[in-house]
Amino acid sequence: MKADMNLHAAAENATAVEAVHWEPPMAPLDMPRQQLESDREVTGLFTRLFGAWRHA
Amino acid sequence: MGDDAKMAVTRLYRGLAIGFALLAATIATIMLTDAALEDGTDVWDIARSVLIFLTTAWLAWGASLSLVGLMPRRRRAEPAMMMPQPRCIVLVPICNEDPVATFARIAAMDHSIQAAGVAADIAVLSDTRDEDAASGERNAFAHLLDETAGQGRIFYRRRQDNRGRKAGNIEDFIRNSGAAYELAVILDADSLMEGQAIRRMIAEMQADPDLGLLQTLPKITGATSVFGRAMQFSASFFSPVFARGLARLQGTTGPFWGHNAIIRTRAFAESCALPPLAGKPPFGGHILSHDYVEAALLARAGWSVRVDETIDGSYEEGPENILSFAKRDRRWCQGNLQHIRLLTAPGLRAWSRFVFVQGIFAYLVSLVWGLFLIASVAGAVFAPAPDYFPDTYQLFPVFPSDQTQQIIALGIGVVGLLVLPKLSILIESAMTRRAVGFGGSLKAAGSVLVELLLSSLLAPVMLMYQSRAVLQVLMGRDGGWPANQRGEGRLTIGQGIAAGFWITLFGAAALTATWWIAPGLLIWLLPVAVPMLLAPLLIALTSRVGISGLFQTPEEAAPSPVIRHYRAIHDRWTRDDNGPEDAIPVPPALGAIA
Repeated sequence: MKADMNLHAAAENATAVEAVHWEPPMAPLDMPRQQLESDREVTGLFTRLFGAWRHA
Repeated sequence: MGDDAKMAVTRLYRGLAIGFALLAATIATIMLTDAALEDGTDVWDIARSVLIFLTTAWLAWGASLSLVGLMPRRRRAEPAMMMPQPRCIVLVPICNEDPVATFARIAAMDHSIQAAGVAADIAVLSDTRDEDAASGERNAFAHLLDETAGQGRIFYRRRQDNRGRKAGNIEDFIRNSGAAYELAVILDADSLMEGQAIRRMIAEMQADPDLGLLQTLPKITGATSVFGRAMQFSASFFSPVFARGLARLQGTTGPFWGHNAIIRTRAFAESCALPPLAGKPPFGGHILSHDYVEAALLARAGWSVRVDETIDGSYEEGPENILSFAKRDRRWCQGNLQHIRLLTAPGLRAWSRFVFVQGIFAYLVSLVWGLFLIASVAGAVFAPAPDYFPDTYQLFPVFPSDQTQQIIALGIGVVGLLVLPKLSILIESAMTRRAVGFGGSLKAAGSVLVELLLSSLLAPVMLMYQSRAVLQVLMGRDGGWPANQRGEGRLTIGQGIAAGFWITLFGAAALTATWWIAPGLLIWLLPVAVPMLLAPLLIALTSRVGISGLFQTPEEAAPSPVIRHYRAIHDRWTRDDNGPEDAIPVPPALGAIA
C-alpha cells in the first residue's frame, strides 16, 4: 500500500515537473471583467417569464 | 473607401436584406390570411398568420444572406506581412480529445507555419479532467516535441480548474501569458491551418491597427459518411457565399465563430473577460456561446471584427452523423438561448443585439414551425361548416371558393425561399468557374440536387431534435458541455432506433390524429411526417459511407499540403504502437526549418 502511494506521488511529481517545464512563458496581462447585466434584470422579466412557465 | 462610406454601404445591405425578409413575410401572410378568412376568422387563423409571418421572415432572411453574398468581392491587393513580425502564438484549447489526432495536427501545422516563414509559438491549453486521457496527452506531447524539435516554442499546460470552459481556458492563457504575444490564432482541437493562411492573417492585422479579430471561413475536411460529406460539400460550396453576405451585413461587428480566427491580444484582454451570469444553468452560469459575445464586446470597445472568406487554408472537421450533430446543436441551442439575458447588456452596438436575436430565433423557429403545423390542423378542425345559403331568401347555393391554388402558390413560395439561395449559388459557381473544383458544373448541379433532397428529408428529424433541445432548455435542463465526438461515426440500425424511435412515434401519432380529425390535410403533412416515420433508418443510413461520385469538394479532390501532412503523421503515429522510441524516422523537413 505504501509502495503504491509512493509510486503515485512520484508520478504526480513527474507530471508537475513536466507541466512547469512545458508551460508557456509567464507574461501577465490585465483582463478586466466585463459588465453584461445588472442584478435587477436577472430577477426581473426573465425569471418571471420562465420561472412561471416551468412551475406551471 | 473611407469608414463612413463603408458604413453607408453596410447600412444599404442591411436595409435591403431586412426589407426583403419583411416583404416576403408580408406577402406570405396576406396570401394565407386571404385563404383562411374565407370561412370567417377565428383564433387559429390569427395564430397561423402570425406564425407564417415569423417563419417566412426567417426563411427570407436566410435567402437574403446568400443574395447579398452572390456578388464577388472587389479585387484588392493582399497586404504583405511586414518585418519585424509581431509576436504570435497559436492557441489550441483541448478537452478530452483524441491526443494522437490532435498533436499530429499540431505537428503538421508547425511544419507549415515554419515553411511559410512565420515565427509563431504554439500552446496546447488542456482542460482535460480524466487522468488517463491527460496521461495520453503528455505522451503525445512528448512525441510532438521529439518530432518538431519544438522545445521552447511549443507549449503544453493543463488547467487544474477548468472554470469558464473554452472561453475560460483562453482567458487563463491571456491573463498569464498574453503580454508576451501581440497576436494569437485561436483554433479548435480539430482545426487545421496552413502556415500561409496564418501569414495572411498576421498581415491583415498589421495592415489594420483597429482590427481586433479576424475570422476565417473553415472548410470541413475528412468526412466519409453520407451526412458528413453532404455537410462538407455545403460548407465548401455554399458557405463562402453565405459568409460573404454575412460579412457585408455585419460590417465591423463580427462574426466570431470561436476558432480559426486571429485576435489582437490587447484588444481581447481589455474587452473579453466574460462574467458568469447570475443564477444556475441553463440560463445562468458560464456563457456557453462565448464567441458571439466576445465579438459583440470587441465591437463595443471600438475594435473591428471581420470575417474574410477569401483566406484559403483554414479547415476543421464536422460531425459524421445526425446524432453528433444534434449533440453539438444541443449545446449551441442552450448557448444561444442564454443570449436572451444579454440583449440588454449595456453599450452593445445595435447590430450586435440583432445578431443575438438572430441566434436565439435560429432555435426558436423550430418551435414556431411546429406551432404552425398544429395551428393549421386545429384551424381545419375548428373551421365552421360551409353555409351554402347565407341569405334567407336565396334561390341558388353559394359554394365556398376553392383556395387550394392560393395555398399551393404559398407553398411554392416557401419552398422557393429554401431553394433559391442554393440554385443562385450554383449559377454563381458556374459563372465564376468555381464549380470546376467541385467536379464541374454538371457534377456540382447533381451534388446540389442530392443535397437539397437530403436536407429536405432530414429537416423534419432535425426539427424534432432542435425542438426538444429548445424545450429542454426552457424547462431548465442543463445540457452541460459534453466532449465532441469526432472521427468514425457509423451507426447501426439499433442505434438509429434507440435515438430516433421517439420521432417515429411522434410522426405516427401526428399522422393518425390528422387522418382522424382532418383527413383533407393528410397529404400536406406527408412531407414532414414520412421522414419522421423513417427517422431511425435515416439516422443509421446517413452515417454510412456512400455517394462517392457526388459531393466532391476541392479539398477532397486535392487536399492541401497541411492536410496531407497531418494524415501522414497520424498514420505513422498510429502505426507506432510502442511509443516515441520506436517511431518511424521523421521526414527531415519537420523541425529542420527554423
